[in-house]
Amino acid sequence: MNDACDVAVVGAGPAGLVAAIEAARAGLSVTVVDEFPWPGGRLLGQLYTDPRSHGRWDGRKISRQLAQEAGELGVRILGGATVWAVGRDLSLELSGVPVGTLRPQALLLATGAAERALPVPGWTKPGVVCVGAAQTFTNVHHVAIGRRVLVAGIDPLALSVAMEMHHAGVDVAGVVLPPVSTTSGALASPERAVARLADVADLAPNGLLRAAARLAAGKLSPLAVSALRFDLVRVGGVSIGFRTALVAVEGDGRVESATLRSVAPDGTLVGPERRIEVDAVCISAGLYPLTDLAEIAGCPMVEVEELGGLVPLHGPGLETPLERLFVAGNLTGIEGAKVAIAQGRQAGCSIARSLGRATLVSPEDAARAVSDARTSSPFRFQPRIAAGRAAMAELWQQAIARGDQSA
Amino acid sequence: MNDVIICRCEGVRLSEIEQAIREGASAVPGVKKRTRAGMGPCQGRVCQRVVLQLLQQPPSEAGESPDALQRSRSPVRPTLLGDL
Repeated sequence: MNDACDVAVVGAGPAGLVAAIEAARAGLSVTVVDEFPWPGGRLLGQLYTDPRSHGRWDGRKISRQLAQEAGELGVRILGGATVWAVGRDLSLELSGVPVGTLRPQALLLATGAAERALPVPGWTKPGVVCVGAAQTFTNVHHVAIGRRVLVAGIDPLALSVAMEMHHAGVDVAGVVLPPVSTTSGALASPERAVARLADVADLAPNGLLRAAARLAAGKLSPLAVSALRFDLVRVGGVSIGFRTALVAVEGDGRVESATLRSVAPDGTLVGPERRIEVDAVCISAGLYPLTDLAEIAGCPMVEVEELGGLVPLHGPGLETPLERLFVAGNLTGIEGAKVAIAQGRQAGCSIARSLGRATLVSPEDAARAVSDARTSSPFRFQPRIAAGRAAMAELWQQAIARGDQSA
Repeated sequence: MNDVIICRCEGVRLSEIEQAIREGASAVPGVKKRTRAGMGPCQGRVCQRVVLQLLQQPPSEAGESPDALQRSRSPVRPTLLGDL
């Protein structure tokens, strides 16, 4: 079955839903598709107190409201729909729903991000999960990933999920550094972990992260960490091992224990191995933009490390060099949900204008809202995100100068 | 550490990938052709970045063309033959 619409949106997360709402407000017919059965994307697992607004950020509630608003505006949301190809004419091939091919006038890719893997001996055993999956299990499905869980990764997301699991009654055996190996590079240095935490000290949305971050900003400043004598810091009932790294996961058919070793401030392993009994290990290695659909659509890709790696080349209004192809959310760089919402609004307006519709929000206001959201975000996933955005603006200008832009 | 699995879809181990790099693979597609890393159901979504890190010492400059990665192809997800 073929299907035509003005706008197709891939990804029903915060960016995709808000863009769909904005485009529908401008009078366009919009279809949103998502692999997951329910709309919301990563919002579904988010629940924290925002220290700026002193309010609760209940992602599930926000996604319900956005989906309802979209529905009232006539947006069609197709859950459980897998997009397996994008044509050069921006047509989408779908699987899992009766609609076979979607033929939109304009396409927004808001595919989000995927988790980076961090191989360590034993990482393929049942019981080892990525931190985002642990968050989904805990907050969306209300399933404990184990009775006693080790978290490997001392970063804002890992500490938040550790706290969420702790609150849900899971015995969090500790939070330690990710494995030190050829494949983790600088991830596993105590100095780096502490510097990264100090960066979020003012904005941290939960007690554990806030306490760890304050500690990092004060007592454990990047300079002081080289003289760090103590290893374990206990915050809110969870132990953080700033000088301990995961080196292997063992078990017969499933996770039964994890092997740890001490780490020198520069990231080299020192001292003997020790083993702790756990039945689940949660590994956090960061996120990267999920670019496959942008690539097969033919969008030029550029590597910008500060944005999380390979990202589609895009302009200040979230347009790409391909006519009527737009991008928003984590696909353009790893940031929090507030930025994704603001980007969704901006992309929705850009799409409406590209199809000759007037919008209530001016391009300048939409762009300003994105930078405001960035400033007030309680999470900063990429420490140098502003530099990454500036680099992208520069690359876009170069592309225009070369005449790459078709619009 | 040398026998840690890197590509879990195809069961390719670190030592095999290092061997491929020694044999002259300079980008992800070269490693893929020699070892099948990234050719399973996830199409490299899990292992490709790890393979790239193994290849890149030091990492590439910002804005550099991303030829080092394998190209995404449709179908980008496991798809029923009936839907093709």
